[in-house]
This record gives sequence, C-alpha cells and structure tokens, in this order.
Amino acid sequence: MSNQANKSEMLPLKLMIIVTAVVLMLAIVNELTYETIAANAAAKSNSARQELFVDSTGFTFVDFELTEEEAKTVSEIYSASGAGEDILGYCMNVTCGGFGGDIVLVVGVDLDGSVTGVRLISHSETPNIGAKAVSEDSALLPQFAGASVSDIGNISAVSGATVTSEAVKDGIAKALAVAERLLKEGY
Amino acid sequence: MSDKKQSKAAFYLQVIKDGIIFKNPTFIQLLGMCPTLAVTTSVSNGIGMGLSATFVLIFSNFFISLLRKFIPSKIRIASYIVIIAGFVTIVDLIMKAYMESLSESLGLFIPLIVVNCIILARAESFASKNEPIASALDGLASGLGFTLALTIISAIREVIGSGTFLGFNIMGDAYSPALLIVLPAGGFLVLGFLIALVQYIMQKGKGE
Repeated sequence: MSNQANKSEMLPLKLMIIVTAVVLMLAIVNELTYETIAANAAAKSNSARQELFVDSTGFTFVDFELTEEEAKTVSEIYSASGAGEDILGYCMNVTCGGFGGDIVLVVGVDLDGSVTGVRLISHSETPNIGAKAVSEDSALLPQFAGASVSDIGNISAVSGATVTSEAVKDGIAKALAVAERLLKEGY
Repeated sequence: MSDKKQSKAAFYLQVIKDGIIFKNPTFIQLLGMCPTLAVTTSVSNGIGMGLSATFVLIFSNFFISLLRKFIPSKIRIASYIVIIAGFVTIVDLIMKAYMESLSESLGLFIPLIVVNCIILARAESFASKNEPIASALDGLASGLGFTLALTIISAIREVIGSGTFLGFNIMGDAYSPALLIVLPAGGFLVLGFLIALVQYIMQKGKGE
C-alpha cells in the first residue's frame, strides 16, 4: 500500500494539490486584509505628521517634482496647514538604507528649512543593537530637532549602531536638501 | 475502557514532559540555534519569540498530523515547508491588519519562525506519525520548552550585557555593561555554557 502512495506519477499531482490549497488560503486571507493593512499604514503616517506639527489643522499632499536621485530617498511630501490659509511647514517620508533593510522616517521641516522633529514609521534593524538608534527614546532622533543642513554633521551616532545612525543622518540631510529646493522654487 | 483512557493520559503527560524538559528543543535537541542566538538579547524579545513560535508549532503540528496519511513520504519536506510558510504568512497578515501593536513588537520574529528548525523537526519526527491531539500537545510542549530556554538565555544576556531586566535597570548606574554578551560571540558563549551545565545535571542524575 505504501508503494502505491509513493508512485512517481502521483507525487507531482499531490504536491500540486497541497501547494494550490495553501496558495488559495493565502490569497483569501490577503484579499480580506490588504485594505486594512494599507489603512493602518496610512493612519500611522498621519498621526506621525500630526505629532510633528501639533498645531496643524490638516495636511495636504504636495505635488512637487523630484529628481530621480531625490526620489530614491524622499517621498510623500505633505504641507501642514495652520489656522486660515497659513502653511506651518512640510512633512516628508524619508527612506534610509539601514543595516538590516529600509528605515522609513517622517521628517517635519519648518519654513526656515530646519527640522521640527523626526518620527519612525518602520525599520528592520537588529533588536537591541541597530534598533536602539531609531527607537523614539533613542539618543539619535531627538538630536535632529532644530537642525539645519549644516548641523547634521555634528550629530553624534549611537555607539554600537554606527551604520544605522549614519544612514539616518544621510537620509535626513537629503530630505533637508529637497526641502530647501521646495521652499525656494515653490510648487 | 478506563485502561485505554489511563494509558492515553499517561502518553499525553509524557509528551508534555518530553517537550518541556527531557527533550527540550534548545538544550537537549539543539534545534533552532540561529533564532535562539539572534533573539536572546533581551528577555522581552526572548519571551515574544518563544510564544509566537509556540503558537505556530501547535497549529502546524495539528494540521500536518491531520494530513499525515495524504502527504506522500517522498515529498514530505517540501509539503511541510509549504504548509508552515503559508500558515506563518497568514498569521503575519492577520496580525498586521487586526493586532497592530503586537505586530510591531513581534513583527521581526514572525518571518523568522518559518525557518526555525524546531517546527520542521517536530513535524517530521512527531506530527507525521501521531494523531492530531497528541501532535498539538507536542507542539505546545516543545514551544514551551523553547520559550523556557529562550527566557533563561536572554535573562543572563540582558542582565550582564545591558544591565537591565525586561527593560528595567537592575544593575545600578555604577555597572558598566559587558556589551560583548549581547553580541553574537556572547550568545555562543552563554548558550555553550548552559548546554554544558544541562549535560552535567543530566549525568549526575543518571549516576545516582
């Protein structure tokens, strides 16, 4: 009986049945969840933006043309509106090449081109090593408050997480360069 | 009838004792060494990984046991991996959608569970040869044994290597943490010494 179960012709067919069943279940679960997951990610970005501009009444997407080089790092530029028609500043998503993969941050920039704050969206750094540098209570992220492009070089990396820290500094510097161009050229 | 029930209960009890102590996946079977070394830098990570792996173990063992007569022996490894990877991905998607904060703390570990040898080893050596309830129990027990081992290792590494336990500073400000212990080399050292200690205890037990 075990010979029949192992007959060579049946093997690919049985494997196909198993794989198809698993893929079908995955497809169903994906269909049920992908909208919620996308909504969660958007809500997270929105609340991060609100934290960077506490007094803002809303955020509007800015259609600013980025060069190919800039688009590698910066995405999703939003303007923060204040009371009336004032713009308080801009938020942009920054993707840095960290140690274990992409680190996604939201950076707030005021109308002078200085950083208002940095919030973490996602990362895949090593827990307790690289992750220490990008967590909200790290020694790295708060240093960026009030920094302009020339201040970035003076920011100290977190010891033991140099690659992560330098990636974040580099990404934010690129974001500030884009902000400078945005403030000069308008959109 | 009560004899059969008694021996089944005894069997289940043995499955539980084996999984947690006598055939502990980490200290006795030396399975899943990679995630063990990587994750045990803090107690909260260790416990988080252990419990996530336990959850996956229970269900993967259960389903593979249900399908044990259908899966041909020649393609069993490929089948187990597809089933385990599919199940873990489903868990990952559900967590990302409906349990956001949990997904953020454990998110890194979930994909790692797919390649954890313990899952495949228990599927191969137990779930493919036993009935579903015993297999689910074996998954639970092996998972708890794994969690116990991870907790012990991460407690040692976090206290000595970071001076904290569960994030709380317990060594005081005068303590200068031995960073080496939370780096890979330290992981090997702590794990090696613990395995030696377990072997010593087992030998002593047999001798007397």
